[in-house]
Amino acid sequence: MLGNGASLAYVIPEGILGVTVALVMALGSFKPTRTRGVLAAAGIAGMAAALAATAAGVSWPDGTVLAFHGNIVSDGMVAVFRLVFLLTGLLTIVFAYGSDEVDTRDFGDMTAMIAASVMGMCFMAAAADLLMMYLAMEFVGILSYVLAGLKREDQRSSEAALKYVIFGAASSGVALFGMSLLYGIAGDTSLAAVRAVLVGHGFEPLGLMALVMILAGLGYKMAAVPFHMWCPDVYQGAPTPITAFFSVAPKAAGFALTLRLMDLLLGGIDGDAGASLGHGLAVLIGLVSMATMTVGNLSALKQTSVKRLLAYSSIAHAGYLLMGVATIPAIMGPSPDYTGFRAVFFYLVIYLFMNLGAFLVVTRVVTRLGSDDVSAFRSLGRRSPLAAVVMAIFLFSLVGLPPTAGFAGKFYLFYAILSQGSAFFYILALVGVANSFISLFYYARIVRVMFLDKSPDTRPVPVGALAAVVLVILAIPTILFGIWFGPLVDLAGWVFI
Amino acid sequence: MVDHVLTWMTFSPLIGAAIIVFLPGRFKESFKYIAVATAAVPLLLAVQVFLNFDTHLVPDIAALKSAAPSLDPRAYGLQFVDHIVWIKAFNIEYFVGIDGVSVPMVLLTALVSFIAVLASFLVKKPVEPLHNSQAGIKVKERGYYALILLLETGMMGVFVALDFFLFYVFWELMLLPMYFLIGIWGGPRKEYAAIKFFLYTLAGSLLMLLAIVYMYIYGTAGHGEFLLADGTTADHTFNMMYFAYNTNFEWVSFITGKMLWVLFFIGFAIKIPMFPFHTWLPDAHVEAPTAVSVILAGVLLKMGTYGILRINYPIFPSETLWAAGAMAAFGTINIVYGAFCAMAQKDFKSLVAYSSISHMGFVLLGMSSFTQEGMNGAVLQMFNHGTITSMMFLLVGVIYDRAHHRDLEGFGGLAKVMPIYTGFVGLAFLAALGLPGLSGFISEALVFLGAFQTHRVATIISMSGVILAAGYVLWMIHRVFLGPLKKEEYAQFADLNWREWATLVPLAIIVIVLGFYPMPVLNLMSASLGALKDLVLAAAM
Amino acid sequence: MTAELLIFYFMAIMAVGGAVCVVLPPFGRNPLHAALALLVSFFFVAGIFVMLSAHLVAVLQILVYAGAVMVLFVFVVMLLNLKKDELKGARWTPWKVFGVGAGLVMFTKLALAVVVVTEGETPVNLAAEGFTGYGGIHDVGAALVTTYLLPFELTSILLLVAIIGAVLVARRQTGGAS
Repeated sequence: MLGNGASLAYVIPEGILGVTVALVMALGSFKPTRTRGVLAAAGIAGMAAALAATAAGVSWPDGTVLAFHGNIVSDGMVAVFRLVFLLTGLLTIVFAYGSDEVDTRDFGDMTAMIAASVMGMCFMAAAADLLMMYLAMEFVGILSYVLAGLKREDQRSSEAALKYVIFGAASSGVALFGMSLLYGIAGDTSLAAVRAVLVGHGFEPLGLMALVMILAGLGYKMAAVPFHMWCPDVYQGAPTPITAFFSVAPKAAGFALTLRLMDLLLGGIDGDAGASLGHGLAVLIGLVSMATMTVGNLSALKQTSVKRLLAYSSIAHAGYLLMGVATIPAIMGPSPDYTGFRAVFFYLVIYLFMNLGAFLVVTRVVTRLGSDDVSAFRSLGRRSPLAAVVMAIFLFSLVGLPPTAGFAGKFYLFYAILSQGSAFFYILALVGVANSFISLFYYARIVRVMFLDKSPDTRPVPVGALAAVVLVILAIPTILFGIWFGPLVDLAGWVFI
Repeated sequence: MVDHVLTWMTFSPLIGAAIIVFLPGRFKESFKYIAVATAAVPLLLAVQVFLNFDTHLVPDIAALKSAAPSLDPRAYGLQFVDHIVWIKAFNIEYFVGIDGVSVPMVLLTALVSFIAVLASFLVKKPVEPLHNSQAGIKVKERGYYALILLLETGMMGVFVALDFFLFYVFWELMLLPMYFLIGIWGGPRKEYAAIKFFLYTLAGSLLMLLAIVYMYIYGTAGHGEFLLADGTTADHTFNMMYFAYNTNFEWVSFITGKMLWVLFFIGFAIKIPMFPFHTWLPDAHVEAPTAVSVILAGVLLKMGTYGILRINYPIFPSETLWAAGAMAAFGTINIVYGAFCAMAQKDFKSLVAYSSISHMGFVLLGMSSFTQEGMNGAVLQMFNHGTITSMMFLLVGVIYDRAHHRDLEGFGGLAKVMPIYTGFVGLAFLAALGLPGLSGFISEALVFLGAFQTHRVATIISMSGVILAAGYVLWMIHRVFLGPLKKEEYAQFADLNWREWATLVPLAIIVIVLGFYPMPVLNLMSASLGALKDLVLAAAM
Repeated sequence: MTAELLIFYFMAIMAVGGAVCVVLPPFGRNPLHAALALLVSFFFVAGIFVMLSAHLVAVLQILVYAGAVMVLFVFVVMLLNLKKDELKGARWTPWKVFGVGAGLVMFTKLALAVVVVTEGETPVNLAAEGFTGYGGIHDVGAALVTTYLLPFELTSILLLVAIIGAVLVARRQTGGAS
């Protein structure tokens, strides 16, 4: 366990983000209306620097290091999740720069908030202490509320922000109560201490109840059923670039925190009490997963707003990801197997590319045509061939069709849950397959509208050079990771070595 | 001589598609020429495969079952093999190769795809702009030719892939181009037909995916280590050959084996399409443009029966024997039901579509016999049906181009106006009903010969299919070609143009030659099919 | 010992009772009364902190919650100045009944669980364990800048960004360009 000074070497990317936040805020106070480009450049540069540092192996230890007196842990999992958060944040700033939904006067503050929020997410993935865990969650939460309400003149945006605040406060209250129960049992906020006490005294019944309450709070972050109600309204109300950000980053952070919590409390434990707890949690999370994907997909079927449709689709994807979390029994016992947890990370990386790509197309359509209704996408295949073709790639990847990356992600997830080898997981896999099938209906509807329907308006819809470049940059991994996902498997191997 | 010939055959259309996609718009006129040139590459390579294929090579099953997994493709009866590790983390390999089961399909794919591209050429400028003509593509040529070439890559890949993962990727790869080809260039109800095709096939293939992943995890347990192409060993494998020849299925309870068999079978049966999964086919055919119909009937349907022969038969032999009766029964239902439906059709194209369902029933029946004649007949029928049905759809396209409708009651007396056309129609449809001297007869006769030894009742019932086929074919000829002309302007119809000649003649030659002398194709397959039959029958003991 | 327990129960009942009064009629009907009930709850929670020798937290509880937060609440309530009919009590819906039922089940289960866990444990004598001055300014301060430095710093950044966020949300879109 390292002291504060020695720990600094393990939070360098977060440090870079902190400097970026300060820099962007300072720059933003001068003539905010004229410096949109400068602010975007500063934000992107900060994110890119942190990303480059992480990719270069900075603050990326080979083993596991407990830093800051055990408040956070630094390991490969933190590092690879940093990549996800930073990439999402960076792309969000690029999207927002080209979108007219974010007022120029707010642009600097928005950039700073995204950077700060990414920093909070990094801490969510690293938290090894109940206090730190809650603090990081709230950090991300409070910034999200502000980001959701950025379009002040738009009633829906304000409503979205308010809904987000109320749901967020309630769910984090529940999570906090669960954490306080754990603290009450252990007399210590450190998860290692909590684990030691729980192993000594057995997990039932208070430990289980506390965990369920914490998971309820995290379920809100992940937008899992039944904590998903806020999701469609917030996604629809928030500015589209922010929606893109919400649909990937906080969700990924919620999953990172869940995986971390499960590993710190249950990873490698033995004893009968732990085993029954693990199976109980697996069934619980598996049921939530089934409910989440089914509700998400069925609700998406009848949506006419593409943003709302993608909101429900992101709920459904949370359900797929939860299948991987449900493999908790595998991480317990003398030879823990983290395949399911790695599948979650693997899927998140792919989800990042395909989902951000889809949202970028929506951003451009909303900016150009002023509507995110499905009918606005009519004839996009002719009006903007590049956007339509890459959108089709992203959507088919979201369905999970080869040779796109979405297929590789689903393949890994199904592999992970089928290797659990119990009847419950077979049922879970069948439900997952049935849901992939249902999802084709609504994704294909957008594709149909883009390519098969005729629009009365046939004027071209220019995407803009920057967006075109970013779209292609997002489309390449969406295809490439479908036919060559070996490197991504290696990267996922860093999740709990 | 070209090395890596199967890889080139699979991916050269993809290269052509990429060229077409990235060429600037001012080369618009040349897209179709690039497409046809690209499609000619696999065809030329197919000739090389045909000439160099060793027809006597078969796997020595007894030796393989007792031996450790090896990397020698000839031990497994495979030729033209390319084998490298693709994604190491999951032991996924790029493993392509052919044996006697797949070589007729590879040749058929190369041929039919080339003809389909050629059949998409627009010969005359359209009189009415953007009329929903079904032959000759005049709008969005870039997308059309790129997609049809991509489709060829997918189809070819399915027939050469010997790694489960690779197989699945190709299997799904062909879905998307097909969806767009029907959905964009199709007829009035194209959206419905396209999504129906997509959903049916996806439902089946997702079940197949579960089965594949399950087999990867559990199917290889307890079999020690498998060799990968790079010489390293692995605990799990996607290699179909190892599953077929190096595992002996003690790992799996019979129940699980049956479940896996059924999962695979449903995925393939939807593609065949086997009753009751057939309803997507008439819709897809009626709406698809001519060239796409040609590919759909000529190649895509065979992927279903090919998959059963490639996966269900060698990997689950005892389950296959268990299900043989059901397969024969479904084959019989297909034959009779398809023929009855064909009789009732008013639309020329749906008639051909239902006749396809009927003819694919012969394949199922022949396959389920486990006799040399029956198996040979089944695969020969796959090849013959590919050529004959392609001709039939091309011929429907010819008349649709001129009359802009396909109502069987709306013609009459065309024999006088278009004698050459009538001749080709007669040839194709008589081949379809199994007239001796044409290729359809040989394969149907072989199927009956083989199946009669195993499934007597089913075979006798199926024979009525031939009579019914005579019924709908002759009645169709009567309605369309004999009697008085229904409309005056039909007298102005021109006979075949050069494109129609060019697409029909090669197929007609094959139909006639194989009708007299089927040995060139039969020789390709019979040794491998014999070995496959022995492998399955060995499970009964 | 008995006296301490009596005082604890008194404070606990008052704290919980105050919290219940915030939402239940008659206090819950009137926002100002509800706020005052909350104030009662805050005070007695502070009292419990005192009993735990957490003096600094007790003082902060009163200063921040009973002081600043409560003033803000009352301020907002008076600013909104809601009419009687706007404050009409909400109806009972099946969902609410379900919610209350679920809450009661949850409470019962938790209470039972706490009983099970604490059964047979003897209370810890903090003074005997060497926790003298454990809740004082000195000890809390030392913990904040050593063990809990990172959460502390993170909180400071959070506060900064939250303030800016609050300004951002409250700022008018157009018009007052100053």
